[in-house]
Amino acid sequence: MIPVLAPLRVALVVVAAFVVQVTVFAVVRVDGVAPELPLLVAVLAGLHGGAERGMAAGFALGLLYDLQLSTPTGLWALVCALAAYPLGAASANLDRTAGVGLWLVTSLITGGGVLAFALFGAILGRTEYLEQGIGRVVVLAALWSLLLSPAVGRVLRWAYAETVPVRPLT
Amino acid sequence: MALTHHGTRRRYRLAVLVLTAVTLLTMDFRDFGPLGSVQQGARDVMSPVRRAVDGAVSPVTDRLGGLGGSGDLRAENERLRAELEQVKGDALRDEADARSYRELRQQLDIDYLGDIPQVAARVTSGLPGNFSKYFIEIDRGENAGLRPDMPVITRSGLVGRIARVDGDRAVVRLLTDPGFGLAVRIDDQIVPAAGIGDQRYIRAKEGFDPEREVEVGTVVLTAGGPLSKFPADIPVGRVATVDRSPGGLAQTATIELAADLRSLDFVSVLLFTQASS
Repeated sequence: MIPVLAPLRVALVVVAAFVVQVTVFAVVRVDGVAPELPLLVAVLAGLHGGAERGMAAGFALGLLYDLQLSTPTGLWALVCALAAYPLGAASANLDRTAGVGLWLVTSLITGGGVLAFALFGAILGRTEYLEQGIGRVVVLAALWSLLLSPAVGRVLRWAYAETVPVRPLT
Repeated sequence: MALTHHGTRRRYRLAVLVLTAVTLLTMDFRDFGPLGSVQQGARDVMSPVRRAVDGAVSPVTDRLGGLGGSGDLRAENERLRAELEQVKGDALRDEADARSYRELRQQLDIDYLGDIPQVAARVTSGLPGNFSKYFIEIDRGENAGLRPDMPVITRSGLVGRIARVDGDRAVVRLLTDPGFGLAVRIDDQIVPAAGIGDQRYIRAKEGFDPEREVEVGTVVLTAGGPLSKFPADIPVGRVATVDRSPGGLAQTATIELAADLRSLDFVSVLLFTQASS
């Protein structure tokens, strides 16, 4: 048995989430709205890894996402890092890291993150982010998060586990 | 004590991340060159991956779209039939427009944009994320000669201009973007027009001669000129409504776009820049 380093697993999850977001979720949408997987991963990284590690993962994933989009560079990095904080700070006092209640909270934070992104963007001059339809984007992004939280949560629990035993190659 | 120290460290790291993000945002707004190169490099790396996944996923998503229910299909058929009738009506009106447009061109002795080389491009399945409402992505980029600010058109008319160019992809800013402005010619008046966030209309509300009334149905073309990013005479649309202020001094013309921006499959990029004009 050899331990697989947690940072390596987190990096793997971050890159995988980024690739899925910019490829699969560029196409798969409900009523024109795609999930905001980087935001969801950031929130759940805070829950499973704690505030500091969650913020770092959120920042890295948000930055990768920023580099791919036409949105202001650094805005998703900022929002994802901040989104990791609430559950990260509260995680030490939680006796469980899964369940419907937590998934609901996660989806609410994700929706709040989308709204925060639009607000920050509007402050920076991208007022079109707050145009008609932002409410629909927030609600559908939150519902996407609710749907994806159980699966993404399991992946992040694996990523932040202290060690993962794997069979050595023979 | 240890908890306090931990909390301080956590806040310190949060502050560092926030400051880093704000620095990046500042660099972005100041068009810091190396940042743009990094972004372009990152997108070029992802481009083949996106193309491969796009090809693999689109048959599934197309099929899912087709399973939307017979009610949806019936509604779609009705909509298409109504549109067909609309097209027939438009064709009749286009004849009249063509005559007046030819006359206008003869009067003004203008060059047609047919001399400008064009690159055909396919509109890709979509940009990632939920905040690119006024942008589309096309499958041609720098390698095909595209540069920022080049005009993008369909057979019907102006669509927008190139906002960002990568190696083999480009992003087009649609002219419905509220931040999009251009000079248009309505009759022989040249006025500024801008997007209003609507997929079918833009608006011109300044610069009209108060002595002359703008008529509904008038053909609207790009004005061109040495400072314009567009060559003259690209069809933009036609005047749909005209609102006059109570004193009659100000007029606001709402322009219905000639190109249907809601269902773009293929577009042409005019290899035209201000320098080349």
